[in-house]
Amino acid sequence: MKQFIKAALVGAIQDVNDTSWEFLQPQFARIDELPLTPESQFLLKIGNLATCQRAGTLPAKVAAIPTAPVSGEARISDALEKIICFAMQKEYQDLLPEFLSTLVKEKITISTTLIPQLLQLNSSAERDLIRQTVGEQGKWLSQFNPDWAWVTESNEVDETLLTTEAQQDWETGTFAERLSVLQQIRQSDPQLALQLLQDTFQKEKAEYRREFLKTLSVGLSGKDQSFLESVLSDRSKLVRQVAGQLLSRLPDSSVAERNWALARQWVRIDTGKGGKTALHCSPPSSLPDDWEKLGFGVKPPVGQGQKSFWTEELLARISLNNWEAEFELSPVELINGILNDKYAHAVITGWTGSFIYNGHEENRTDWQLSLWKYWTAMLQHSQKSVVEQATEQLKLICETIELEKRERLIQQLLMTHHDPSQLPIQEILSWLTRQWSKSMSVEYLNLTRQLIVRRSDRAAVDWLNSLMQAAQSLSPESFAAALTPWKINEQYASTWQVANIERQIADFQQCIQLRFRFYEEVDLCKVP
Amino acid sequence: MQLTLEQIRELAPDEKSVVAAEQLLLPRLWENAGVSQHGLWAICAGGRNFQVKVDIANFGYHCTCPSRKFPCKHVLAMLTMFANMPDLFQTISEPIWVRTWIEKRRQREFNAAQRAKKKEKPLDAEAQAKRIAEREKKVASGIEQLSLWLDDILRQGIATLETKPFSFWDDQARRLIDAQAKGLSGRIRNIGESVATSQDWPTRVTQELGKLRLLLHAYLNQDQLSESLRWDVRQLIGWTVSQAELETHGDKVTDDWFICSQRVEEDERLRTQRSWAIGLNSNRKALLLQFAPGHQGFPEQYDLGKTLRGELLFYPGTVPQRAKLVQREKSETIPQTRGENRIERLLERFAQSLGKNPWLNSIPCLLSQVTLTRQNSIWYIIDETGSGLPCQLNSPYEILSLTGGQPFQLFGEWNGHRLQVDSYWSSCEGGQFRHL
Repeated sequence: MKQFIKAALVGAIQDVNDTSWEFLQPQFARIDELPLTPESQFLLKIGNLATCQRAGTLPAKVAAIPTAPVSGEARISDALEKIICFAMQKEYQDLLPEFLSTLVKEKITISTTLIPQLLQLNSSAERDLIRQTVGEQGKWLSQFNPDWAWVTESNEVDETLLTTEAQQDWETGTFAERLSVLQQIRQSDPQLALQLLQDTFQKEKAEYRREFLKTLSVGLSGKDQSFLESVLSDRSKLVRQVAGQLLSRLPDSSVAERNWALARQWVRIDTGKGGKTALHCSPPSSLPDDWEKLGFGVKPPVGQGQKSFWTEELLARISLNNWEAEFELSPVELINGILNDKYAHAVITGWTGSFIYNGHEENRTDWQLSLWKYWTAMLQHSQKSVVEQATEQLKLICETIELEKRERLIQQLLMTHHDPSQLPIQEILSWLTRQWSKSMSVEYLNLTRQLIVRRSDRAAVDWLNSLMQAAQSLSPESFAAALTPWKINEQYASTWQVANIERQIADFQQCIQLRFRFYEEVDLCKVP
Repeated sequence: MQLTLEQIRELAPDEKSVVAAEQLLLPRLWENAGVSQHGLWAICAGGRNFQVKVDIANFGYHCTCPSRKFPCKHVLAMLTMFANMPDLFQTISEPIWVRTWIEKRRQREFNAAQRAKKKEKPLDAEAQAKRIAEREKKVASGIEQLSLWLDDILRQGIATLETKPFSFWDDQARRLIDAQAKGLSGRIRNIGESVATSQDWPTRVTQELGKLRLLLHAYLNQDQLSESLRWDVRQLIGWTVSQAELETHGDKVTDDWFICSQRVEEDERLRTQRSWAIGLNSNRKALLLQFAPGHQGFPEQYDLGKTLRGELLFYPGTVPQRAKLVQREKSETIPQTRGENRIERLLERFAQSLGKNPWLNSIPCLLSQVTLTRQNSIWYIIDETGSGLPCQLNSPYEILSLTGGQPFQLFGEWNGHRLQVDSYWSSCEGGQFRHL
């Protein structure tokens, strides 16, 4: 055939002498006798050859693949499969982690139809969950698609490999890869990470230097001190700032000592009549010469006074233990002591910064609760910027609180606030993990129902924007309460908002229905 | 009336309509929902009340909404509601607005049937023979011109085709339309489209030109061909088989026909539905073609994965594949299909079919006890002996996951290069029929 094609390509059809198709030669001879042009005769031969070639196709010899392992666990029902499919749609994808973790917990195997769809989701955040859900059959299937290699990849890091391969990546990788390598090395071998960083530090861009330097916060020790002190003379202000922050966490460093000496000059204690203790903060009008060298910022952000900013900057780098030891006061007493001072807000912001930066590692629950109390009180402040700051600080404090306690505190906040509709409810609920406890769910539902019946103002309408978050988080015990009909304030009926409110409630109930049906089906599928 | 969600999805003009319809699947949005022997109806109460109605006899539909999509989201939503929650529809006699609409439809159908009857004038044999002779002349002249054009291509060498614009092929295709050889015109366009599209295009183009020349030669020597091959050749050139010819020369087969594959191909103006049916007793495989302009529905409803009892009329030819449904009845027969379990046997059958009709594109196949495997990034269907065919699959991982590497049964089409898998039955998960 090749000779025919070669001849056809260049139009040299007369030169073909292919005898490999012996059985076709008599047929070709008959074609040659036909009263046709040589080109037509040639094409007829090609037509014959092509047909014979197609007809003569032989099967390939291919090895079969090993069969999938058979699971003995409970099988998912058709109805449950439909619900999972539904949850895979964009609108309800937030429910997927809850559904999958329940299936894993109840040892229910998903159907084989769902396995490729789940693997295709490729959601890196849920990979562990998907890996557990798809089970052995999923692992078996993943071997046929290179994109699903993560299913069988191990999470354990081989430290010996890390040092050789990772060092190579450190030298040739992109910024993100190098940062990731440095973080990994720092976890397993802090000294090696320090060494790597020191070797190349001066050649890096300022923004890279800053990010690389931040990795030293893991496993920070006195061994890093001399390097960090040398970085205090870096040409970039932002790099100096990180170095200063890290050094302030090393109690024996000269920076930490210098910071404490400065702070001690700024904050003093007065014991008034009747033994009442008051703290006073009096920041200087000009900064000491080595201020910038210690990695502090000089210019405050727009809307904030200089002294207040300096106070926050300095106090955020002082260990909270120092204050307690120096004044012999508990966290509550310290906060109460400063409350009447002009710079009280700046001091407490600084203490909060210090708590978030290193206080939570020491498990200082007393500070945690005292600061939580202060900032929740600030949520009622008349200035919007203070409320925003309080929300931000509460979020950071929340991250240091264990989940159950966090939920209790938030529930308490909802119960005790004089008008919960004024709270940034969506933001606050986002600090909770799914799913809520029964009491939290009941509290939210009661509050929402009351708001929607009694009020018709903007704040009550805004509160309803949190319904979808609640729909995904309410505990299964509260589904019945959530699904009972909702009454809305009669004044809504005459406003344009009514359609939107009804839609929000309908969406909320639809989501609850889906979760309700899911748990119902799970009960039916459980192994007897 | 039994409806599946797949059937409703098939009706939808586009994916957006399906999504829009899903948003209407709330019982509170529907009022006065009812069903009777003749129709299905409801009022979609979303501000403006739209009257939605479906004629059960032939799936005709109507909605009072101003949508330009047919069927609109209201019709799709109502059908889906009926499929999912039939209890919502009260079994009562039609309200006046439904009855009037159905009666008008029946009247129109009756008038159309009357007009068709009137048109059936006695055949003027002489005039018809004259028309055929004239067309034969035109086709012959087109073929003569095409032969010269092919000779020219070969004289210049296939390599020069790479530099030719598409108009080179398109002009020739148009000339063949003028010569009333539509089949040849399509072939020319297809060849033109495959130039310089892959590494082996010279081989493929040369082979296609060879097969085309073989077809011209066969047409010019029809008197030497068997009757069935003559039918094949004439249809390939562009001659259609008239109803009368079909009834005289077609092969009538009555059986329980299992609809095992269905695809809809969309052209700019025309939609073509290709459904494959397997005769459960005769084991014949029939290709049922339907055409519909724009977004109009197809005249017949073939339910994928279901069986219909009926009489099919196969078009004449050496390897009869295409058929027309002439009579249908309801059938509840559960398909018990038995396919070939040796790939070599399929290849033998393909070779035999090509021996009868060298221009055959593909043959349908029902393979059993096969598995899916992968080698060098190519998916293969293999039988128990390890013989395999490269295959074309939309969702290989779905099959693999469902079958777990265990043998299954499939329906597909083998074209000599690739096995196009259309549907399969897994022995796992209750042996469900699945269409790809």
